Amino acid sequence: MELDTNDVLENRPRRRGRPRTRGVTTQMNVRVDQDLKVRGDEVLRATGTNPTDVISRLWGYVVRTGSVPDFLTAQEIEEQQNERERLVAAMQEVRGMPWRALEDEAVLQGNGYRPVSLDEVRKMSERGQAVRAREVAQV
Amino acid sequence: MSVQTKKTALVDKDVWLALCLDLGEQAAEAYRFLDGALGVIDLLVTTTCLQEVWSDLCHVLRHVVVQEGGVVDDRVEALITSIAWDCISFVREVSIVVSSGARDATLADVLRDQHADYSDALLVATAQGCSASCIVSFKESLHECLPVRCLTPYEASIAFNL
Repeated sequence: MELDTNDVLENRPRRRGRPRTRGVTTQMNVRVDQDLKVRGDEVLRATGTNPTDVISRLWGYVVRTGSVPDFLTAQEIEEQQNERERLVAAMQEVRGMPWRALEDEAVLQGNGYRPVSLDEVRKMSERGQAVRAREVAQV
Repeated sequence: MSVQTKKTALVDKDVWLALCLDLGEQAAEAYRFLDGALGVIDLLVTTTCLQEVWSDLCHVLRHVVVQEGGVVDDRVEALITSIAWDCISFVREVSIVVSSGARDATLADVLRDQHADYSDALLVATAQGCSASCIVSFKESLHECLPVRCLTPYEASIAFNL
């Protein structure tokens, strides 16, 4: 005998203990850093949305796709951290790099005079331009 | 309609110079700001600023070489320019390059009464043109400027909660 699936579904007994939830809302309480909340709320206001809308959409996305957005996955977070660490390392490397490079090539001695402020740099830049101008004139 | 929400800061050349040349306290201040800002806010830099960083670095390094009794021959000149290129590569890597257009030049002209220095006026005009949240600079002459506010790296660190 063939089963008519529609018939089966129509006549199936309703499960007890599982209330109908569609259309019914519930409240969620989450704990977040206070400063983070203030700053986040500011951004949401600026974009014309609010925490309820954002949370509803996030839950909708999770249910619809069966996954979490990329920015919430451990891999994405790890990639962002790695990228930040790489840039910080580059920043540490470039700090004072010109002096190290000239010393490595024995163009400068390690104990020579180095500028310590932007005012000195401005004056040096002007004098450096003069040095360059003299060299060009000699050529 | 799109609303720009990510904070952006147009970083002036002196912040990059302070870091690259490791200029004492100013380097430390620039480092703290950039360290906090990386990945949190968008750092902007103008093409004009990149050019100025490059040429200032070259001029300063030439001056120091001569000061120490050295000669800026072809080898040293090549080394100096290579160093300046590396610094520019770093700045480009951590920031977004924006260019000043014709509208910025026009606005800069309007701002001439507020800024005696044309490069200051152009920087402010470009910051406004690209909707930067602020300019980050050590230059005191910029700090009174309008319509875009200008902060030192220390002030920017506080303003952005970095």
